[in-house]
Amino acid sequence: MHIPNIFFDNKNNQIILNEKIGSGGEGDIYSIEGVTSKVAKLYKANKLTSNKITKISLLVEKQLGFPGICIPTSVLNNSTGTVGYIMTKADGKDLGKTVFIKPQLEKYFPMWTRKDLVSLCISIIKKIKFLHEHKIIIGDINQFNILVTENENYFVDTDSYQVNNFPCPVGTIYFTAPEIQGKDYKSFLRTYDQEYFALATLVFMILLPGKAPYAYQGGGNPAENIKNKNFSYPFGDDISWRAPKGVWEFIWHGLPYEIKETFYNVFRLDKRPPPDEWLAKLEKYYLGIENGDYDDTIFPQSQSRNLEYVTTNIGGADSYGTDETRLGYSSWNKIGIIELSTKAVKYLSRSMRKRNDEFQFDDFYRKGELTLTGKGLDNQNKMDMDYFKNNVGFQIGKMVNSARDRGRVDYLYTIATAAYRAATNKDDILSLIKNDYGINVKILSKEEEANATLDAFLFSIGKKKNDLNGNYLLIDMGAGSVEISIFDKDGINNTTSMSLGTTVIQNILLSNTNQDTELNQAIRDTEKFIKDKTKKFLQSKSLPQIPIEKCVGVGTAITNATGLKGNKKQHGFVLEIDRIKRKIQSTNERLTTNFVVVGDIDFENARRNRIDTLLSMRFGLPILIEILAYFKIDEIVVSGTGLWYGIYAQKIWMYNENNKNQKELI
Amino acid sequence: MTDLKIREQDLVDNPTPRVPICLVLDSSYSMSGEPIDELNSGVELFFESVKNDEVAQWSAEICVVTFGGFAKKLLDFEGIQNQSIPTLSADGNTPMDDGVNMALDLLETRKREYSDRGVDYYQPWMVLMTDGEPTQDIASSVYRTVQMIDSKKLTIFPIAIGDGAHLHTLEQYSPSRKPLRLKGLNFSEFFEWLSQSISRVSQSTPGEKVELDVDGIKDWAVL
Repeated sequence: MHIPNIFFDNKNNQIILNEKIGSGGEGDIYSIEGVTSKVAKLYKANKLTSNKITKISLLVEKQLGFPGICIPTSVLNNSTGTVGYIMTKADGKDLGKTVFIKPQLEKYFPMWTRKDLVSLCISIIKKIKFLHEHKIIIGDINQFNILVTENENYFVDTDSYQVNNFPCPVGTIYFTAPEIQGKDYKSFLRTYDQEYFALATLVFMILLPGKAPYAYQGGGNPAENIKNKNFSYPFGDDISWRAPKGVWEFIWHGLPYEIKETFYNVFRLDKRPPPDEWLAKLEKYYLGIENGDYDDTIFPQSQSRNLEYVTTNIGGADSYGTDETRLGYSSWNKIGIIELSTKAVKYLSRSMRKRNDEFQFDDFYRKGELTLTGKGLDNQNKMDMDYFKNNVGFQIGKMVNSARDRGRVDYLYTIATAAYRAATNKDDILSLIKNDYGINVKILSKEEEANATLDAFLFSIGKKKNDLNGNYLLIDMGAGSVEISIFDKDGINNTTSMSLGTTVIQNILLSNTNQDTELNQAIRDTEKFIKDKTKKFLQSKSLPQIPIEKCVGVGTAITNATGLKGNKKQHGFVLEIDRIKRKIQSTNERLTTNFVVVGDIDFENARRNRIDTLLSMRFGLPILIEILAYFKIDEIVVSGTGLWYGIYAQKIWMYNENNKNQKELI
Repeated sequence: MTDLKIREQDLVDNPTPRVPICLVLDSSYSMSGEPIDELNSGVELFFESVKNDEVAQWSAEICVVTFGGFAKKLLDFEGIQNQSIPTLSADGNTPMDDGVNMALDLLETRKREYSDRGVDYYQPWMVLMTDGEPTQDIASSVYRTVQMIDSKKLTIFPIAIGDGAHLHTLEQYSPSRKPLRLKGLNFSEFFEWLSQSISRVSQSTPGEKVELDVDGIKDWAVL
């Protein structure tokens, strides 16, 4: 078909088209004689509908002059009517052929660093923001309609933009929000919120060049992944271990916390921020790179993960099993306690010389071995039985021998806590212990655990629950979880458990970073996450903010914050908020002066060099501060008597209750 | 680095969604002479034009299986940068069933590799070309192929070469898309069209409908 090459613009100026400089499905692009800054799009005969003409006219009317947005500036008419439009000339190659393919990225922009990617995002978002301010939704944001050069970028294919009631009739799966996947793009108007999804996807695919946010190990097709919100990158304690293999998760680790949080919110929680919010965060990121806070390389060198497949959720389930094992038949009726915690195996008994008198630390024989039991749980909370046998089992054996042979214990009570409660293969664990060491084990429910922990403290001050005046708040910071319970003289009236124990927090830190992540950043980000989670948790549980008579604290973080050694000295110490804050600071200094990157810390052997204790304090104490603030308390009494003393006390009390006239237990 | 390592490393480094393409080609004795020469230059042209496409070269992964005497894997799926163009030679009878089954096995393996590493992929394509009749029962490969097509897990392009090609056989593999007969020995035109189609696919998103260049088909097919 011959097209006469004489055309007119909307002011009836004559336009002469020169050579064809591009072509697409809908039409071709021509240069214009005498005008270097503009080009014309001439539609193919059947491709220009009257709707499209109206839409182009609307876009022209808006007279939007924003550099890089190649929006129609005039219609293009010939003797038959409107046949196309005139727009600013674009330059460069589309993102899909450059930034999104590593070898092409390196070929076209060899000098680029991460800063260039961030500034590309910022520049693109500014254009989107401008369009939104003029009530235009792009609709079909994708990698092929944004062209990039070394320093500029251009939005093309603007005639499909959504304006007034004219929908954007096209789209691509990657950039389509879950709720409109599979819908006919022609049939509805997109919302700003849906555009924000596309915007976040684009930012993701620029910062992790070319990688779609929902690609994951074991993934099905992209549309399904998006609909199911299968976002696989780790954030805080939401860790799937399904992020695509390769450099991608390492790039992710290096992103600022706020950026990761925003992606997580968009792709997992459907919370999609508008351009302004992105701009603030990306500009901060840009400065951070300039200041050396964040890596400037596009593809980080690091490929060494910290660990794989560990649990970040130790909680759940009721009590399970029985605690009593008869070991001997002496007339002493002596009892012993073995506590199997998330971190250790511990044994407690009371000296033969002492009866049921006043509590004295020195009357007790204590023995403990750190076993890091919780680390044997994988991300499905299944206990690795080999790990258990080798690291925990033989320590249990040692304790049982102590109780039987040296301690001459008649009744052994063995109780287990969070890690055991969480394990999906409890039966395997309990039968291994039974078969190999001949003892019964009871897995305590959280409530039983809280009760026993408070009883331990009360026992030490010669009281029982029905002696209480007012409300007692018990904060138990364990390896698996943080338990918060409120008691009065009638017992527990509220207890709740937060899956932020010290082992869990270490796993969060390790799962969100790699060996080359700076420790400073790792600590900062982890702290942000756990403080945030604690705040949200306390609000969501709506724990009663009632007056608290006394707040009692248990756990490594709390006892060590006293700066004193040994449970005996720590017991009864009153920790004030200011002291806790100072302790956080000094712990932080000790950690960051000794270690530069996460890989410097030998987590496996952390217990030997007290790193475990330092980390417990560094992360446990900020949580404690949040809890104290919620209840408006400014001090906490340290209890050096853990759960095991409580079990001991309960057994004694119960026995004495039942056997008033018989020989007492010791 | 072993071949296996390269195959894996490429999946890990290159985020581009993949278009797996199986060429299942008849290399039986009857293809000797001009047909196999033309087919060879067609295949060569195909590789070259995919390599020259800025997106498709990172996206397309080609495997070549021939059936002539026995089924043979000439080329397994891999990034095209690492592949060398195979040369076909004609010999033996026409074990089409084995050929198609082998291609489907390779495809399954590769799909699992994509999935294991978190690489998105498009619905795979299979080009099945023959100039004669299969010399074995094709029931098992027909069953597998049709099942995949029905569940939208495969697109097939059955092509008959010359008058001796048995259209009915090809029809069994392709319940909806009619087999086409190659115009003379226009292999080059066909492969040019194929590479352009792949180029289009590679610029879409996996799962999207892509319109093929229907007009272009007349350059190589008897319509």
